[in-house]
Amino acid sequence: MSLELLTLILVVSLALMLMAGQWTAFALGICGVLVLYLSKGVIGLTALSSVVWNNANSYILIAVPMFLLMGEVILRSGVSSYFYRGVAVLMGRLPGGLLHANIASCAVFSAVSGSSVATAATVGTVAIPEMLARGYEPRTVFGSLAAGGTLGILIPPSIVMVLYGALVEESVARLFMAGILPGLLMAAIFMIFIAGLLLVKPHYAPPPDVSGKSRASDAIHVFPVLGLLIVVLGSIYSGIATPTEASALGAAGAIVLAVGYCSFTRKVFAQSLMATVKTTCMVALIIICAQILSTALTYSGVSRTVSEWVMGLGLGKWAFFLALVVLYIVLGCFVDGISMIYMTLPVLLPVVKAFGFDLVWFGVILTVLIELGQITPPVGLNLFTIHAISGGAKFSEVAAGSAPYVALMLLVILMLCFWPGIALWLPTTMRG
Amino acid sequence: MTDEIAGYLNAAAIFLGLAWTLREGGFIRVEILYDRAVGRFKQALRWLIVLTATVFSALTLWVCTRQVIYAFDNDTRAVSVIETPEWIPQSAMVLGLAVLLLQLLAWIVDRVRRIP
Repeated sequence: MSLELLTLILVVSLALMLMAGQWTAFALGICGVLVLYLSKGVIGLTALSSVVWNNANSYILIAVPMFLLMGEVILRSGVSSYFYRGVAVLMGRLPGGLLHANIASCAVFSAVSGSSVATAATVGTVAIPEMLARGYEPRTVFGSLAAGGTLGILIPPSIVMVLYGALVEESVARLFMAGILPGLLMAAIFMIFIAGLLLVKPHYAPPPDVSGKSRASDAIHVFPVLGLLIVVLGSIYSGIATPTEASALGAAGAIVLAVGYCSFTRKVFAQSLMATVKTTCMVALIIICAQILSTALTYSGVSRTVSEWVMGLGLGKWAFFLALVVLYIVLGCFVDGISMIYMTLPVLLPVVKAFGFDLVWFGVILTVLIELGQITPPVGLNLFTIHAISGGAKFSEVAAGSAPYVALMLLVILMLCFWPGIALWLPTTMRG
Repeated sequence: MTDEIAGYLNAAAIFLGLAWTLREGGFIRVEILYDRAVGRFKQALRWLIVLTATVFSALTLWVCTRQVIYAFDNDTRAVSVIETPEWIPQSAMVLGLAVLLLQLLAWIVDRVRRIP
């Protein structure tokens, strides 16, 4: 069968499966099997077993459930609520203080949780009722949470970066370190934006809290979570632990914190474990199936055809980059981040390498693009999350509140293009 | 050695959790059309989803089972200090995929009314 026809069949069947609502993982796997069968017959299928096994039995992937468990335990044991109250006290005196507290807590909490959804849900559950009760403008509240939550995958530890590192065979530790400064930069830009917004529209937030309801001593709750963060990231940065080892350390540390707050019950632990299993299986099956698809693309030659076609377009380095950004923004409106990376990179990675992009830098850019995808409708996981816990707000309100942050993220990408050092400086200072 | 065993345990957790995650609606999908569809069209979509997923699961199970039987017959070992016979950790894969297939078949018997 000709490669053009095969490519056409692949694109059509994938689009059909995804649009029909097939679970993303299965859609990728089904198309992979189809392409493999059409190009190599039944014999081609025997390659499947090693793809399935090798991708599940991977040392790097152990970090995924561990980091997820760390976040789940902190969320479900209520340690996160204490932490949020601590930050709220520290930030409460600024105008629109709790909005800043949202961004700051998301930035820190994202460091103990690998996922954006968990970050947004954790901070949101505590923040939304309190802020609406105090008279904050709802859309601003939702926007700050949805956008702040996305920091979860940029600031390490980050599940997305673990998976990207595994795929392109780049050091996960370096990727983690590369995400820190861009993450802090983005948090700072978000906070400047909020401050600016409140200058123009001061009625969006109530006056600074002077009721004395919150006690200064609450601020102490900031430290346990910060401490855990320093231990986990410090051990990776100093080279004492691999990201996988640090993830286990983090999960154990989260349990110690929960025990310290006397909130580590059997129920909390069981729920955390089950939630971890659910997310891990979801992520793992996407990876396995996407690798089936990518194996099929390589075996059949479709991969090379597409890569060569892209190279043959004669695009310059930055024109290609711009096209990639647009592609990921569009894809991000429909598909989740992990599927997006695993679907596109096996084909595009050779081109990215050929243009001489630094893969660590590219990983950071890709992560920002995925963050962007999480707050763009119609399919934005963070929008769904905030909508689900908002207590009856309209989905459009959440989306409208998040819209300005899309522009801010594009600004960060632009800054990263002009000053790649923002991402690449910290990894160069690492030991080990 | 601990790295190796942790990898096996992680793989076992993944495969054994698949069917449960599927039933609990843990897998994500593009909801645009699916969530808005009603009546016969929705039912048709469900059949399409479940049947294609079943074929895929059955194929994967078949290929992986053959692999494990091969590993057992030829006594293939992992390249490591403890030389784990490969069929031991890989059995979890076959078991997990079998339960996944079972869940999908159960939905077919139930005429796909209850899929998430």
